[in-house]
Amino acid sequence: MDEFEPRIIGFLCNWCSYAGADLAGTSRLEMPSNLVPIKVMCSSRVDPEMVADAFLRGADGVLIAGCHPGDCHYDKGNYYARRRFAVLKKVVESLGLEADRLRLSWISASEGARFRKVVEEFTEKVRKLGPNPAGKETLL
Amino acid sequence: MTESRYIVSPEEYGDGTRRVLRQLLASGAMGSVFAMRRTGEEGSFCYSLVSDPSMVDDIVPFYPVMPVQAARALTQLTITRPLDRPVAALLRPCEVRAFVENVKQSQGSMENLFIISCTCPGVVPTADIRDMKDEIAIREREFVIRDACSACIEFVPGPQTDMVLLMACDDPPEGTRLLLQSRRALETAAGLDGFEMETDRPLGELTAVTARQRASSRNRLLKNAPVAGRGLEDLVSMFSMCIGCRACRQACPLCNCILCDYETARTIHTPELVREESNRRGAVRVPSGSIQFQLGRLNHIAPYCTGCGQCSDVCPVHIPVAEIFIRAAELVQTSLGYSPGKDIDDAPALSTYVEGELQDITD
Ligand code: SF4
Ligand code: SF4
Ligand code: FES
Repeated sequence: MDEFEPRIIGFLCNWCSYAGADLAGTSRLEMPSNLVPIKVMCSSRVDPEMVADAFLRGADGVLIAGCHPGDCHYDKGNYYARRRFAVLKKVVESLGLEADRLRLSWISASEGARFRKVVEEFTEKVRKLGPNPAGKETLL
Repeated sequence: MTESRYIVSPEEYGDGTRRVLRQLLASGAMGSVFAMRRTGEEGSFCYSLVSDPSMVDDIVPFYPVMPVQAARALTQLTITRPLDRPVAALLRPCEVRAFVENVKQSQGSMENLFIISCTCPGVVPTADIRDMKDEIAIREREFVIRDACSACIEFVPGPQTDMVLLMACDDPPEGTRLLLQSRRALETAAGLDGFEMETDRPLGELTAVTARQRASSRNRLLKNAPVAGRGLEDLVSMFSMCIGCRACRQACPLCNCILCDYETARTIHTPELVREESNRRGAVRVPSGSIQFQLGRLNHIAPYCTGCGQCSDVCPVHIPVAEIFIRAAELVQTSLGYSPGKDIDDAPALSTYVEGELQDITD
């Protein structure tokens, strides 16, 4: 059987993490191609609704990435994003869903190498978790 | 302060409270009263703004029903502008907390509200209202309250309340016993005829045993709550009956968005998407989106849920929505150190942050 290739949705903030991903690309850093990036203006633009949608549509993992605390280009967006992520994690936990499929990372525009590391680590972690059962559910 | 001040009278609490309300209206201290009113038909009740003192007769103070969560009604009443005359509002503790929460989110105003609450014995499921016996049986507590109510540990109203009627407590009083909790309450009580002023122990001491009983039923509910951490399959089967009526969000006092995302075209799935999902899964329910809706509502409301039980109560297919929310809310609110409706000066949980917090969930 072919090895399971996870599909990961990455919500990347325009100013830091997306630029970090770009840098990884222009620096020709090799990394797994499992992450599908979606550009958002700020990590705080990610309503948990969007994560839930990705998850229920069968994404095996969802990454939210933004500027490091203190560096958000809208000043405080990432602090609010972190609170929402805490809510999301606890809600998911309370339902017995797999909170490990969700990750929030801070990646700056100059951290191409860190972007690669996060993608590698997360892809491996999600690979171990196996396919998201929500992807096969017919009663959503 | 170890002693609290109460006004007392020997009449049954319904009569005693109505007498307070009549005097408040007649003296002009209050322009109107917001309270539960019996509307003629057996088992028919609604919240009303009562302005005519003679119609106070129809008010049933803290009758154990909740056809509408009062915070929802008060939010509607005060969202465009504050009340222009003083209104005495009879609210249960979860209604006070939910309303305070809405006010914090700029969805209503506390101005000109004089809040009378109770140490709350709970309410019956709305479906049982028509089977309710006479007032005496109710006074004797011969009714079965909602699961959410038996698990409520916040049954003693907080500091936003002006007066508190002593109901659920370790040694229920004969007659009417109203705590004067605010300066306004002390001033207002001075103008009332036919009540004795007494000092007694504070509410916390009068309700300690009851609080312990509630805490243990709460633990039971948290442990046995439906889909208590049992995973996707259970979640899906729990909501497989959901008819998507959105009554749960319509009834929830904290679901205060005027236009819910889940009522907009944005959340309607296109035929292409549905077909694609069907191809991948073999089949897919149409319309899809009930779990998506529940997850969205859980994420938006869990930090603020006051555990009133209204969402379970209105669900036409008997999904224990509130029990699921109460469990999620417990985890969420503990992790954020937030208690909805407790402190009106606290910023809402998702509109604030602490710089160095929650580092263990990020990297
Ligand atoms: S989610 Fe349910 S229990 Fe919680 S406040 Fe809303 S209606 Fe009440
Ligand atoms: S009230 Fe019940 S049936 Fe209606 S949307 Fe909510 S969970 Fe579904
Ligand atoms: S702009 Fe990058 S997190 Fe806000």
